[in-house]
Amino acid sequence: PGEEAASPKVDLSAALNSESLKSILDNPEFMAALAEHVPEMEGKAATEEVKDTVRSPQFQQAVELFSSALQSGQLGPVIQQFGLGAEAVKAANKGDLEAFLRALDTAAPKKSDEGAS
Amino acid sequence: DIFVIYDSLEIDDEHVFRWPLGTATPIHGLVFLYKWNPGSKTSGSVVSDSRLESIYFAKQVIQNACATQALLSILLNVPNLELGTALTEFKEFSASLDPAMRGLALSNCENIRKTHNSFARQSIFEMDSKQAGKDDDVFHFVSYIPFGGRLYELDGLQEGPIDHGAIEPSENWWNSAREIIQKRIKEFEGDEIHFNLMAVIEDKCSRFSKEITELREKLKVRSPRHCLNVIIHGDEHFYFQNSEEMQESERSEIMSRIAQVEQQLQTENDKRRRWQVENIRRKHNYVPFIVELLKLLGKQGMLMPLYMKAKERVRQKSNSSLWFLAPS
Repeated sequence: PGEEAASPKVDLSAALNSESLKSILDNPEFMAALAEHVPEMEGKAATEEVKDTVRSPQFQQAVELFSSALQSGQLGPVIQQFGLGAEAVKAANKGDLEAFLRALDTAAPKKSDEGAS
Repeated sequence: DIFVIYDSLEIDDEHVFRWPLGTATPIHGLVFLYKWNPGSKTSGSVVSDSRLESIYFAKQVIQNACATQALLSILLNVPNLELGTALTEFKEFSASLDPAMRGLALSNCENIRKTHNSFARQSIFEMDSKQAGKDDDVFHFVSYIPFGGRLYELDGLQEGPIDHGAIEPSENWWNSAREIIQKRIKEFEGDEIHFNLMAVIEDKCSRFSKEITELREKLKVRSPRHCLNVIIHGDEHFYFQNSEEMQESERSEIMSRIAQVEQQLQTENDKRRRWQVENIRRKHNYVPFIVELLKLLGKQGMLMPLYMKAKERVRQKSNSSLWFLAPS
């Protein structure tokens, strides 16, 4: 418990908003990929819903929950289903958010490059 | 059929709740949510006489359906309320059962259970559902209703309805309920909790639609031409007017009233649509979306910078709280 208090959990929800995601939301190809995962709304294009989603409190809550669940190590089995690679799954199992994001970030220098990507 | 809706009422620091509904809106009942405390005693006396035959009361037999039960216990006690088929059938079927059996029937009614579950948030992972379970144990819902000129509290954990005395005929019934709820809130003073108070009110959409239809009907009715009508104007004055002329002024009055009600109906429908969207989002599993988003951010090399920012924010927060704690 003492260690936990020393490093409080990082919450990604404030970092993910329409402003920080602008370059993603302006990219039609990325938009199409995201549009697959939003709830269907009657009479509304899925890409519109993507824009509204990142502004919605429900999404913010989901990100907060995701951040905290990942750091508790509970998300490992869930992450495994997404085919994100061994590095990401290992980080998720350990509850290491930083290592998890590093594994997904193509620009970030990898600590141990095992050649398998 | 949705015939009644919820509106949340605000409770301010002085424990006075505001009434955003306007006094013109009929309120069928109030639902009060609070932290359940085994020692908390309610005032009023438990009804055990023949009134039990007319007041619909069900005991709470399962834990997590108490919001649904609080809502239903109001609806099943509103005189002349048009309940949908499912609820009418349920009420008829369970009328002869005792309160405990009614509670059991309620939790086993497929239609009611489906509706209840359709509002529950989907648990995306274990932790989420555990948290929800804990909250359900702690919070409790009770309803307040006017019935036969008296105010009753319906709490599924009690033996029967609780009688809170006669309602002043000259007053809105909820004024008496307000006093009782405010007293209750004061008991929790200093305790770190959230209350919620909701009102079950008449469905404005159906009322507005009905009024529009009636007004349109009025427009269709034509009185015979060239016939004199007496119009009472103010208190004493009356004068004669040609019917055609009268129709014209009355017509425009009705037309403007229709426009007004249509506007209100529009506002109400917009609100419904917003609630519907909120409910769809609340139930949606956003994990695949989040993973996709993180993948895209990773492709752009944006993830680590975002993470560092988020981490910095936490560090600043904890620093400021450490500073706060420093004197001790």
